[in-house]
Amino acid sequence: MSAKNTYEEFWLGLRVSDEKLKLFRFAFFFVFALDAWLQIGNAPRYGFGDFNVSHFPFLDGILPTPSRVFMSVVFGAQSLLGLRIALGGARRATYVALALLFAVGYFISQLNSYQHHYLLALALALLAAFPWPDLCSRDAEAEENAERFWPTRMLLVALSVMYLFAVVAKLDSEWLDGSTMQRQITDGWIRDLIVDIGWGTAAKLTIVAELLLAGLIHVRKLWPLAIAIGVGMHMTFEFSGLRIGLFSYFMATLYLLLLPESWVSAVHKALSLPRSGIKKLRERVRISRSVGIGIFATTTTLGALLTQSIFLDSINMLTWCVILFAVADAALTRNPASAGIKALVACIGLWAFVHTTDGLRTYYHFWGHNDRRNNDTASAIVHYENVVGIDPTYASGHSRLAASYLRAGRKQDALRQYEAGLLHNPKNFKLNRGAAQLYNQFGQGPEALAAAKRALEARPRDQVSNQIRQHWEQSLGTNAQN
Amino acid sequence: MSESLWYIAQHTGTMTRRTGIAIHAVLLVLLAAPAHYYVMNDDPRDERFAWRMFSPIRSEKCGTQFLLGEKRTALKASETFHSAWVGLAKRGRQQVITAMGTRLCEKYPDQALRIRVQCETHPGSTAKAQAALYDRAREASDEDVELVARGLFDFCETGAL
Repeated sequence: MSAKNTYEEFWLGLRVSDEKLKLFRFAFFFVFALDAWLQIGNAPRYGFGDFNVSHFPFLDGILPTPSRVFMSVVFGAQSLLGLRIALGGARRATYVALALLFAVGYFISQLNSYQHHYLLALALALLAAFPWPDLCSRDAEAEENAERFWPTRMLLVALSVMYLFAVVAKLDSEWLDGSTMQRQITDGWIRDLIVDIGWGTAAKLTIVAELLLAGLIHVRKLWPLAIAIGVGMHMTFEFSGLRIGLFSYFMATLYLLLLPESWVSAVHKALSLPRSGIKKLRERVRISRSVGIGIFATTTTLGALLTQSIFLDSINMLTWCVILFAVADAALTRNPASAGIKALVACIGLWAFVHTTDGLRTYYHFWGHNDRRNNDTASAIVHYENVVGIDPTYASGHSRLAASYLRAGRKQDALRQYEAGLLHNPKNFKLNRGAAQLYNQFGQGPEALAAAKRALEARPRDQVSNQIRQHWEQSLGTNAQN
Repeated sequence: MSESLWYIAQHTGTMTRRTGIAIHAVLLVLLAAPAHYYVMNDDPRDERFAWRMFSPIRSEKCGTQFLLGEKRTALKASETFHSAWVGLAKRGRQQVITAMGTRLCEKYPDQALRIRVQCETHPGSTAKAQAALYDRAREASDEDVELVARGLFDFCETGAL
C-alpha cells in the first residue's frame, strides 16, 4: 500500500458500527444537555454594566452584547436541542443548529473561557457532519461511501491534538516537580493517594498518560488499553476536586467511540427485547396523518406547559423555543407524532434537570449578587427570596437574604431568615453569627449566647461572637466553659 | 454489514478533492489555534484555545490597579464590572484589562487613567495572601513578580497597556 493510500485509509477507514454511534450519541448529548442547563446559572454574569469582551474582536460588531435573558434562552435552547438529538432520529439541520447555537453561546464572551467548552464547540461542528445511522441509511450510495467516516477520525485527531498540546504545556519545571499539581489538588482522597506516590511522580505519569493516549486512540487493537488509561485519568481529575465542570464526563463519553464492537454487540443484544417490542408496536399501530397531528399538538402542548412550570424569568421565550423546535422537527422528519413525543420527552428531561441540579438556584443567586453590587436592595431581596424558595436548605441563600433584609432595615425578617437557614444548617458560622447579633440587639440573651457559642465552634477567634458570648455570660451569670 | 466486517472493512475508493480540502482545513484550525499561543501570542496569560488546562500559569495571580486622575486614585473595579470580569483581570488577561480600561475612559472622560498590572511568576513562592500582592512586590525579588503594565502612561491617550 502506497503512502498516499495509507494516508487516505487513516482518514477514511475508521468505520464505526451504527449501534456504537447510537450509544455514543445518547451518552454524549445527554451529558451535553445537562452541561448546557447548568450553564444557565452563569447567565446573570452576562450583560452586567453592558460590558462584554468576545473571544474575537471582530465578533463584537456582529453579535449582540449578551444579556442575562439572551444567554439563559441560549443555554436553555441548547439543552433542549441536546436532549432532542440524544433521543435519536433528528435531522442534520438539528445538529447544525445546535453547533451554531453553541458557537454563539461560547464565542460571544470571554466569560466562558472553559477549555472543555472550546472542545465542545469543535466536537459539535464535527458531530454535525458525523455519519449518523439514521441520516446516512436513506442514501444508498452513502452506505458504500467511506468518505462519510472522516469526521469520526477527525474527532479522535482533535483529541490527540488536545493531549499533545496539554503535554507541551506541562513541560515546565514547576509542573515536572509536582508543585503545580500540588497547588491545584488541595483536598480529598486523590490528594492522599498522590502524596503516597509523590507529586513529581504523579505529574510525570500524567504526561506519560497523555502522550500514550494521543497515539493509542488511533490503534484499534489497543482501544481497550486507551479506554482504561483515558477514562481512568479523567475520572481521577474528576475526583481530585478540580473545578472543571463536566469535562471528565464528556471525555468518558468520547471514549465510547473506542469501545470494541463485541462489547457494543453485547449491550445491543441485551437491549434487543425492549427494542423489538417497540418495533412491533410501531408496525402494529398505524397512525393516520390526522391522528399524528393530534398527537403532535397534544404532546407539544404538554411539553410547553411543563416548560412553563420552570421558575425562570425568560421561560416564555424558552417555551416558544420548545414549540418552534417541535414544529421544525415535525417538518424535517415528516413524522409529527414522533416529533411531538420527542419534544415532550425532551421537556421532561429539562424539567428533571431543573429539579435535580442547582442551575436555577445559582441563576437567582448570581442575579441577587449583581443587584447587591448595584446597591439595588429591593431587587436583591426578590432574587434571594427566589433562591431560598428554590432551595430552602441553602445556607448561603439564607444569609444573603438576611443581609439584604438588614440593609433594608427589616431586622425581624432578617432574624427569621437566619433561623430558617439554621434549621437545615445548625453549625453554619455566618447564620449563627448573624442570628447572635440580632438576638443580642433584641435583648434575647439565652438565644444570643447559644448562637454565639455555635458560631465560635466554627471560628473560635471571631471577635463579634466572642463579645456577644462574654456579654451574655456575664449578664446571665453562666460559665463560659459550660 | 456484519459485525466482523467492521474490523476488516477496507477503504476502496480514493479521497475526493472536496473531502481532502475539508479534512485539511479542519486540521489546520485544530493545529493553528493552540500553536498561535506559542508562536504569535504576546500575552502568556491568555491561554484560551491552547489546551493548557492545568498549566503553571493558570495558578499565577495578578493584581490590576486602575489609577484615576493626577492623584492616581485607585478605582474599585468591582463597582463598574461584574466580579467575573474582575476575576479574569486577576489572571492578567490583557485583552480583558484593555477593554476594562477603555470602558473606564468612557466613564471618566477628561481624566487620565493609568493601569498597573503585576503578576506572580512563581505562585506560592511567597507565603502571603493575594490581597498583599502590591506589598509583596516591594519585598519580593524581581523573579517573583512581573510588572506587566507599569502604569506610567495615560491609558486613555495611548490605548495600550
